[in-house]
Amino acid sequence: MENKNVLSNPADWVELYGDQLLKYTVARVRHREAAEEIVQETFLAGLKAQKNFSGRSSEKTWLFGILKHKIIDHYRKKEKEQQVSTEDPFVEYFDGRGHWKKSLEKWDTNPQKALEQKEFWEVFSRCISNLPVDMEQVFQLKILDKMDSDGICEALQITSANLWVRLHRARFKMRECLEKCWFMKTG
Amino acid sequence: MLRCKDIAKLLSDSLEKELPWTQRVEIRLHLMICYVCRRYWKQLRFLHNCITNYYDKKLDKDPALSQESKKRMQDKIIEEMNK
Ligand SMILES: [Zn+2]
Repeated sequence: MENKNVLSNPADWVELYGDQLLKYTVARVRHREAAEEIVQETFLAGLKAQKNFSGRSSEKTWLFGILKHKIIDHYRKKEKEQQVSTEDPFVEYFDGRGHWKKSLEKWDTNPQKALEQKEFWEVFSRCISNLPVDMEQVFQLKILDKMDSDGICEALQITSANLWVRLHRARFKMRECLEKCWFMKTG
Repeated sequence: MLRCKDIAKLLSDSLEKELPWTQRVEIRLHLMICYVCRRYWKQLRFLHNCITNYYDKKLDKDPALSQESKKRMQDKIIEEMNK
C-alpha cells in the first residue's frame, strides 16, 4: 500500500496555513484586503474541491496550488479594469533621428549607498505603488514567480509585444520617479 | 550604425535575455562614445537590482493574520461546511 496524504479538517486550515498563504499573497497583490480576500477564497474553493484531492501531494501543496490559480485570476481581473497603453515607450525619449531628446541627469556617484537607507526604500516602494497595476504585475510574475516571458503572456493573456511595451514603460517610469523623488532631492 | 534609441532598447532587452555577440559588440562600441547611453545603462542596471531586492525584502516580511481575520475566515469555512 502506498502512503496517501489525507486532508485535515477544513475548520483547522486557517490556523494551519492561513499565515503562510497570506505571506505568499501579500507579496504578489497590492492591497492587503485583496490578499486576505484571496486567501479566504482559496479555503472555500478547497472546501468545495475536497473530493478531488488525490493524496499524491501534501495538503499544503494542494492548497498553494489553488492559491496560485486564485492570484492569476485576480491579475486577469485587474487586466480587464486597466486601460493598457500599447504605444512605443521609447517615442517619448527620442527624436525622429533616434537621438535622446535631452540628456539624462547624472545620479549620485554611488547609488549603491541608497540601498542601505530606509528612506530610499520608502521612496522606492511609493514609486512602485504609483505604477499602473498592470506594470507591477509583470514585475511580480517575473521576479517573485521567476516566470519567463511566455509564461507571463499566458498568465495575463497578453501578447509578447504588449509585454515588451509594458516592461520598458515600467522601467522608464520607475527611473523618472526615483530621479524626481530621490536623486534630485538628496543632491 | 545603431542609434541611441536602438541601443537603449537593446540594453533593456539585455536584462531579459542573452544578446547575440554582434549586438553586444555594437553596444560596447556605442557606450564608449556616448555618455547619455552610458548613464542610461548604469541607471537601468541599478533599477533592475533594486526591483529584485525590493521583492526579496517583501517576501521576508511576515504579515500574520490578525485574530479577527482568522476568526472571520474560520467562521466562513464552518458556515460553508454546514450547508
Ligand atoms: Zn547613445
